[in-house]
Amino acid sequence: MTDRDGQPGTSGIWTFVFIDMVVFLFLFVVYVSERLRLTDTFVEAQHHLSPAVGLLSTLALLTSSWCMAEAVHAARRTDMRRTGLALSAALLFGAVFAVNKIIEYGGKFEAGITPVTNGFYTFYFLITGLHFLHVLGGMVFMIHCRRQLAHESGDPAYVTKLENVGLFWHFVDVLWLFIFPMLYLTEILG
Amino acid sequence: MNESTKRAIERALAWTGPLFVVMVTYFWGVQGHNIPPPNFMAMTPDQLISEYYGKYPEIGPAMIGVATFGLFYTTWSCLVASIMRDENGQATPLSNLELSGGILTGWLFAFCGALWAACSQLVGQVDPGVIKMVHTFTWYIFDCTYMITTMQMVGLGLWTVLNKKQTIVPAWAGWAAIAVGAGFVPLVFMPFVTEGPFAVNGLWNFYIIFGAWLILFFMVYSSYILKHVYRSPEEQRRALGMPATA
Amino acid sequence: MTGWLRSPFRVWLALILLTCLSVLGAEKIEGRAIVLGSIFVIAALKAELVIDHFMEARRAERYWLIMYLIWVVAVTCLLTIGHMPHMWT
Repeated sequence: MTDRDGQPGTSGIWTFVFIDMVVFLFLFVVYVSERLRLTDTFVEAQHHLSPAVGLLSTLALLTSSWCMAEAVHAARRTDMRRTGLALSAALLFGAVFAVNKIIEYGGKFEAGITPVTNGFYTFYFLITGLHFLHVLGGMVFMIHCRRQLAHESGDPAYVTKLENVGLFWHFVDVLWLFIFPMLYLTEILG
Repeated sequence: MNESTKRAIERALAWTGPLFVVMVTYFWGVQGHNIPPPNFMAMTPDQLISEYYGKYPEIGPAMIGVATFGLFYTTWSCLVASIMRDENGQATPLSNLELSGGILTGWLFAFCGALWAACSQLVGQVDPGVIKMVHTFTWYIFDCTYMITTMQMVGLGLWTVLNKKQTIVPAWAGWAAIAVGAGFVPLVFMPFVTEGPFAVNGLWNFYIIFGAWLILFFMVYSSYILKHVYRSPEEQRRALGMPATA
Repeated sequence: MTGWLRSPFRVWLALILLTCLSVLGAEKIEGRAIVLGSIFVIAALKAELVIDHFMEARRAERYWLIMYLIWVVAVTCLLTIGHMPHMWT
């Protein structure tokens, strides 16, 4: 059930996303305070991150978010074929992000870089790791929606469920929009 | 047990929560000189003795205070678990999760408090290296078993969010409990860093997570629980989403 | 502009262009202060687009839109100010 006429999703998901935003804001505050304290360490370590890898992640997540928005619009029109296609595409691009991240982590571990290598990498693994858990969580919800599509199509509760998943997925995207320049782009200026 | 006795017990248990916070803050934080705690990961055994245990002999009795009052967290958690019922008045897996997390967190305060007291009392009798070993071991247990409390907060948070008929605690508080519980995760870095926000006395692993636990979780839930136990039995049933009695 | 962005595809296109702009700007443009400030402002613009058009926050209770946008502004200011000492060195 939608809590309010026209409001996408339920009040619960809007609350959850906001609280999660506040948690990440705290993380960013601590990151910035440490960056100011250990500027040279951070800048030096950031040189080992590839902006191209970060860019690919960003493009994948933005595209996935767009597909998710299309899925929600199609579900509202009860165009279930298009909903299914858009959801599958959103999942595919989410998977591209996930695989890219796993390869990136693998490269770091192979190079002997771990969360305790230095202050920057503690944050790198913590922030991207927490974000990655959000991505995996979002993908699990999307898989659930994709599987339920045949059984629940046309049900208004399904549309609300999809809107909730979509809101969460777009929030994951918004987080990455700040994580990307913060970790991957500021090194260029070092 | 008659209704008034039952209600008196509930109200007494509800007050053990704030009592726990006040007494543990005093014994562990103030008298135990843990605001912030010494950064033992960056200290030699001799420094730990000269700058902490040897310098403040009151730490021993303070930690016995922690061991005593720490278990009031368990009593508070037992009350919360008894309130967390479904609309049929039955306990749920989430209330069991809350209860087990609350019991173990209380035990953690008692157990760790006793070990820190032993460290304090044994200064001068055993090698500083042994004191540092026990102190480190105790902190690892205290911080790295964060999942115990996370489990409790997630259980309580999910019950709050998913049990839409209850009006005891608002849904936002449930989401906040889950978020604060998840915020404990960086404690995994504590054994590996000697400085910065994730050190034992760091901005995140000390100030933010303990502060968030106190303000966003405990103070919120404790106030709603206190409000609930002062309701009439009929109002309590209504707040739980149970059908009114004839 | 708002009318043009009514379709999710166009919003996505704008997001991709802004992303490429920030990466190109970071790599090609001289002048740290301008670039650093710009990449976080571009990130904020992108976040606003996602919140407004994909999340459809305007259709939710008004306070959600306000609080989400306050978060975007707070994070942008924090990251820009946090990197300030770096800008001028």
